[in-house]
Amino acid sequence: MTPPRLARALLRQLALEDDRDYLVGDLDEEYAERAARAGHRTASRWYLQQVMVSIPSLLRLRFDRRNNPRPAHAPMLADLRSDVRDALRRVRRAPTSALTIVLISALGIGASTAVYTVVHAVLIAPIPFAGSARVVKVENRVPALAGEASYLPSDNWLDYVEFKTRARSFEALAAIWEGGTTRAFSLPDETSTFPVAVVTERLDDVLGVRPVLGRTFDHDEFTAGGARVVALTEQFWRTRFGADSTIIGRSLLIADTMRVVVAVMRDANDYPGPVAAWIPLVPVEGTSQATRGSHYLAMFGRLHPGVSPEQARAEMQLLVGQVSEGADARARVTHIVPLGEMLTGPVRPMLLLLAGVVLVTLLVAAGNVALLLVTQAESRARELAIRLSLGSVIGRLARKLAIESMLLAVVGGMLGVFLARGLTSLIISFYPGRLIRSDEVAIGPSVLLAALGMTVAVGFIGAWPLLRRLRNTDLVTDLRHVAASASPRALRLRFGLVVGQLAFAVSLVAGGTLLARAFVRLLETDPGFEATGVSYISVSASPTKYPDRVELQRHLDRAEDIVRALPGVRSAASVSYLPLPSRIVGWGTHMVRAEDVAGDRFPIQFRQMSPDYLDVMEIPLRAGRNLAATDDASAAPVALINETLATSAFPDGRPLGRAIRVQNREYTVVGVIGDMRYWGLGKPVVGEVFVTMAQVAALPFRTIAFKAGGSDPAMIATARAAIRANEPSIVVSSSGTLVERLAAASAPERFRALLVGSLAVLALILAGLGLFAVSANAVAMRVREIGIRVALGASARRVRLSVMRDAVTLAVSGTVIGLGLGWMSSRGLRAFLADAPGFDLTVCGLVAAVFVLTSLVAAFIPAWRASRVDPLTAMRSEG
Amino acid sequence: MCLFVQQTPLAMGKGDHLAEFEICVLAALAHLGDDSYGAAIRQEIARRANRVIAIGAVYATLRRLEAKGFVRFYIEAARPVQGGRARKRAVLTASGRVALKRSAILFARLLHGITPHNA
Repeated sequence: MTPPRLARALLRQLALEDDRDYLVGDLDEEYAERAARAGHRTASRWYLQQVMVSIPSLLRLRFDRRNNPRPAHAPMLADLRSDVRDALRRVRRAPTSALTIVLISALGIGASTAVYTVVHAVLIAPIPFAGSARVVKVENRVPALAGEASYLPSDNWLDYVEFKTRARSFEALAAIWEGGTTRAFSLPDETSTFPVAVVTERLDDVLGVRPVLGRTFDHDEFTAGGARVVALTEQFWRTRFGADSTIIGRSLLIADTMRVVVAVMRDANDYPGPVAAWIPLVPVEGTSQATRGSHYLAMFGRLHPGVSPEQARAEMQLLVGQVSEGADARARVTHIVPLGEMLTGPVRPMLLLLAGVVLVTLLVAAGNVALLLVTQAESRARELAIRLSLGSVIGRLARKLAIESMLLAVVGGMLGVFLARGLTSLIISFYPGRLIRSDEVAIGPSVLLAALGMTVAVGFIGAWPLLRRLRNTDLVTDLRHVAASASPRALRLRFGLVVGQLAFAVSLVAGGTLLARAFVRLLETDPGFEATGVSYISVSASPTKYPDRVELQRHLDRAEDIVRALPGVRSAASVSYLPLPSRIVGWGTHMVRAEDVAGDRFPIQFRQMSPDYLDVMEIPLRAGRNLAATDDASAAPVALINETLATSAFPDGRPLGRAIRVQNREYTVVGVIGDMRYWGLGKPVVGEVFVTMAQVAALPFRTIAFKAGGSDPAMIATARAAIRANEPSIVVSSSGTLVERLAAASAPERFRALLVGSLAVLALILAGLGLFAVSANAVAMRVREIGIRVALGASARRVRLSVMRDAVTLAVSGTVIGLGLGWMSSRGLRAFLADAPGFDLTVCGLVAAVFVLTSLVAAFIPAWRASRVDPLTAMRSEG
Repeated sequence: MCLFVQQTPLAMGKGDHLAEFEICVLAALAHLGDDSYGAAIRQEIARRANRVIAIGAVYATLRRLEAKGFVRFYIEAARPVQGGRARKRAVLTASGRVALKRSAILFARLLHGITPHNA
């Protein structure tokens, strides 16, 4: 006796999938009762009737479901509330593990948010100028020197005037006296000095910077007879003058000239540079400033709308050919560099490295959260199975688990944002030198959005293994296994997570080791001079106050004498430019061999020094003689050259006594000195020519290097005070020690190594934690098995070994994969950090050793615990 | 009871609206207690209302009530008898009970004084 088959099949088709068996089963049950009571025929008729009257309701239900899968909203919110409540209850029950997860996510999200904050402000956010995309720097570089540095002042006054009137690509073309920013000034009641930008007309138009107070410079103020004026920058006005609005009209003494404040320029701190004020550039007639002889201007232009940088470049290149005088100048190659690129170009590789490293750290942290949650999930497998068997819908359960993971991630994310605030200022303060645009760094909406994204990502990555576990829940097995052992699939997942984490951590450690080695190698580089014990002060005098060159020279010589006469000073010497400058100043030039008709040219740096310079810096004299005090204006011009130049310019090895020509003047080479790393420790040695101060046109500035007994800062302060007291018209712009300069020169490499190193240590700790969690969990799961082994006579040592072996296997596989990744990332590193060293066996061995050691440490406690398993307790504990 | 009425005003939101048959099913669940699976519910309503009740309507309505949060299901293990099968049992949730109570109060008030004779 069976119910009508066709009707039954129809009913099955119409019922919802989840209800199908039960609905038909219920009806079949009643059918059987009726058939027994009233006969098959009556029962079949009743069955048919039931199916017929059921059709409309079932159809409508299906229709409703398809159009509106979740009709009731209020219960959904109520569900959400209850899910959050459940999650909180679980957290209360296992606070340690929840806290661990929160802290790990906070670390990961915090570090990433901090780095994103910096990267966003410096690289991504547009520069706050009106139409800043059209602002470009115009550089006319000399090809032979292009490899040396790309940030060279490139134009002379007369060329600039021609360009300004003839170039059609620009709305406005202006220039800044590059070296002029070193021209410091001091306030009446302060001893510190501030850099000033010496600018041409319309720089404000080019940059799109308007005054906050006052007016822009007049045309007259750019002429020799015009009023002497100054515009302060906003930041300086706020910090030094307390944003005093009566500042307009006040007079300030700037480098011997009394100037009237006519404006406070809206914050232009990083553009064109971190300066305190702008003053108009008025080239002194009759000096090299107003001729083609001196290339000291950096040009900036604002492109006409619709003019591409390439069009502007082509026009400027043409003008360079038409306007310039001399083969050197005509050979210059025009580069148009957008302002944003110019500002961020130098910091881009470092920040991208930072971003990459932090991303890996975030991945390791998220992997760790996932690992902790999945380890918990194993012990929850039975709970999940029970819930499912009690009719929990998989979707609801999944949501519950996702909410749990998300809740922890959100708390971690909020903590992370707090952490990011501290970390951001840490990054900026540790950044070598001053990070460009760092005053714009702030945690704004876009950063918060990114933090939210990272939080959701961590929450999702954390929940993902659990959700997978849920999908693969096998009710029968999970209900029977009282969390006794993990399924092979779950084990694979967990081991995969550990190995992945280890791999990322290994690649970070490998990268960190490489960078640390590069840093050490850099420190071992011989700079070519002895920095220890050498202090320096840079002084300048106003050429307008001392128009006579000889007088100017003597005036600055007196500063050197004052320093030399100080008690405790053993020796002192002057030089035009000290090695390892913090920024590139001065323009390289060419030297030719005088006897060479073809005129082979060699790029050189041209320096003036006093004879004691070699002695103070302990620069070795390789051949010939040192310069002497007798090599003055009346004597025959002589020069020292460095070894690199001697070998390249005089391949016959006999430079002494030969004549060279620099800046249209002939000098006889009298000595060869050792090479110095002028531009930086990692930079190539460039050719250098040294002559005495007396034999060239005097420079209005110089650096006095001196050696003294006693503490350096105290000596420097004494020297500054002595110069101020005896020669008040001499301005001391900067001072310090050569050791500081050396440290500053290697600061980027140190920062890099420190940064990647500390994040690598963090990743190592996280990976170790993960390994520990897995080992501990594996032991907990194997308690019964271990108990049996011990009962069967396994020694504690054997048990320990077996647990340790598992952990080491994991660590070794992770390390092998990680070294592969590390090898790849070191290649990537080279792509944008040219001096990154290659990957070698020493690094491999070192990293592998560190990791196996870490894994041993991480596995030791669980292994020790396993060896203490008491067989009786172990067997009893299992239900 | 009075206090209860004040706390849960009779004005119902749109989502709270209960159809007649939904009230029937909730009531049947309340009457049946533990023994509430599809067939039993169908019979309970059919017996009390004295009319033909479709098993499909019962299941469809249970699903709607579940979506509103008034009912949840669990699968009962197969009964230890020959051919015994697993049944899907429905139970009232706390909010289901509140909704039923509200309906009872509503109808009690609305129908106060109205009998089958004077209607």
